[in-house]
Amino acid sequence: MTERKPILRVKDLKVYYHTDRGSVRAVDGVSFTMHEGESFGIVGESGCGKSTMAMALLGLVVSPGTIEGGQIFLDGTDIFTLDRELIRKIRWSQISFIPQGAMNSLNPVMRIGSQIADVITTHQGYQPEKILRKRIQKLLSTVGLPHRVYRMYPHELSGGMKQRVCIAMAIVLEPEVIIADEPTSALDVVVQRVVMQTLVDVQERLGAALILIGHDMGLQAQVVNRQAVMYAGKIAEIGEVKTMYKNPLHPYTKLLIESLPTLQLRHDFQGIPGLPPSLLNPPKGCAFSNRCPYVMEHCREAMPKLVEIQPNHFVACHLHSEVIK
Amino acid sequence: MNVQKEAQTNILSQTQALLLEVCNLTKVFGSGLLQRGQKVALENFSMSIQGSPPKIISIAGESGSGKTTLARLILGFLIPTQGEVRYRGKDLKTMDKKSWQTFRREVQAIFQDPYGVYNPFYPVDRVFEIVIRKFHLAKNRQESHRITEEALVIVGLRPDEILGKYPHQLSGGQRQRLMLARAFLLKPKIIIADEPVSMIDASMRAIILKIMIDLKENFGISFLYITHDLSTAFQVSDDIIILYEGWVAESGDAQIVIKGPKHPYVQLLVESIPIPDPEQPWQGRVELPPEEELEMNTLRGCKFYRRCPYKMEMCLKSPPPLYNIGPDHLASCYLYKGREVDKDT
Repeated sequence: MTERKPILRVKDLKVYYHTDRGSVRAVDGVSFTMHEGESFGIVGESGCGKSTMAMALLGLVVSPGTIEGGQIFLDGTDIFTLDRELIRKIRWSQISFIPQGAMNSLNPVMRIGSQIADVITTHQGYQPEKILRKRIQKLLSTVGLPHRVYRMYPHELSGGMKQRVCIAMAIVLEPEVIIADEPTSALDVVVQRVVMQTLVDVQERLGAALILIGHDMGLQAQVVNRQAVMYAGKIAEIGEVKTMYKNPLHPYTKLLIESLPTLQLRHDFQGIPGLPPSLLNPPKGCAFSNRCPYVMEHCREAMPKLVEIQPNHFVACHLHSEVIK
Repeated sequence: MNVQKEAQTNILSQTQALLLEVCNLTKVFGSGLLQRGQKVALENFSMSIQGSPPKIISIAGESGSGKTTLARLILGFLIPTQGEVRYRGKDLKTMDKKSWQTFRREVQAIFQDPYGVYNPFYPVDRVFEIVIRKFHLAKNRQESHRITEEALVIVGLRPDEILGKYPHQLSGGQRQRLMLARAFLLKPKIIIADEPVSMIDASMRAIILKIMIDLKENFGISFLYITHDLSTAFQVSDDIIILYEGWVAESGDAQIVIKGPKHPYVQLLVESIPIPDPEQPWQGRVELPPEEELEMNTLRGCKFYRRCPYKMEMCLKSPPPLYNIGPDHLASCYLYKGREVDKDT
């Protein structure tokens, strides 16, 4: 593989929510690097901090959440050093977002065309309607929608079509990074496949990097090249999907893959008993220690560090750090 | 062996009345004045649940296929436009009060949203107290407490961790298991589970589905498992019925149908399930012509015509009937016309 330019670098990011009962450590020291045109997945259970992560990348963390530390470099610039106006400019033109519930993110009383036109004129200034319409209609056809969608309202479209409108909106300014937060969780499998197909097509055409956030290990395996598994605000394992699915190193990753029902054998799936720890008072040791089948005494005492076990394959687990020693 | 067993159950079912029977059920939503405003949610649907041996029957289909409408019709929340739902031989519409009470007790429901079913102002114990009072399940407080704890243990919850808590203090998986415990308390014959795991984390899904299997095998409770997820349906169900736009596309033994789907729609559905293995990517591309997505409900013939790779002229004329293509295996597709299997073989 050729070495590609890093486009997004996250260094020791910490996002906490301050509540009356203390600070919730939603993202607690996450680091990763993404390269140009790469598809990168972030998976984890609900409440593991994956959506907070997306908000931080977009510079959209709002009270009671605060960035407690770390840096995010987008194409070399640390976005936390920029003022709000500059972040607004970067958002969408360099890093854009496809939300989870497309049905709720479109304005119900505006035609699709004018909603997309809004994005263009906000960033690029006034353009005559005729030119805008041509551009938007061309955009709609790249995501597989007919031209007349331009004049339609969101309620006239199906869920899959609305999700494709959101994809169109995310790519209109040709960003370098697209973040998709569970873009298909509300759709049926066939429509999910079509929407993902569309997303991957436009990503490849633009050469943009894609961050796919989700909890479906099956979908991740189909779409991304590399993924990070998040647990309780931290990265448990990060690596190429090809090696990770064949040989998951972290017990949590292994259990997540095993919890998926397959079509080969019946009754052959296991849940993960127990619950993730509260992020208010995270345990002293490994956050997964209370659910881990391989737990050792050491795990409850010391937090494992993320170490590179194989080339480009990192894991935070004492089972493996001992091997290295 | 299997044949013998089947023959036995056949004899049994003839002597015993069917537990639940759904005959030619049709539900049309919308005003009758303007034909255009109408939406046929379910058309001419029939099925039955024998109750013994208990079975998990899946109703699968995409959104808008009529699966939730079916659940609501069976529960008596909706009145059918045509056809009837019978419980223990009696039509829901004309049932007397006593039979209705039995029906309400023996047919329980679990819904998709484990957040919406609780009143946030009361501890979760209340859902148990209400059913115990309503159905006179306990003579005194001690007994009521005992059966509640018993039910919680059955679904794998620790009573001391759950009782006295408010809904917001519990996770989605815990709340959904509470609903199963509540249903279990009533010793139902059938539980209608409408997408019980779709809002639950993958790690928890397996646990809830295992409870369903446990309740079936050890307590003789049948399930109507309504889902859009074929892989969980494959894992837990004995039989499966796949709906498309209010019609049955294919039905039969869950293993046989999902491992060797016959209807073109079911084939597409099975192929589209993302496999958690990067070495097994989706094969080929699926195109949904957008024009067709917008005008689905305007066809007289087969509802799947526009998306079907094998479309023929006759598909447009009238909807295909259900052809018998194997033991208890039906598919509504003209591809199997003239290739039916005799029912008795």
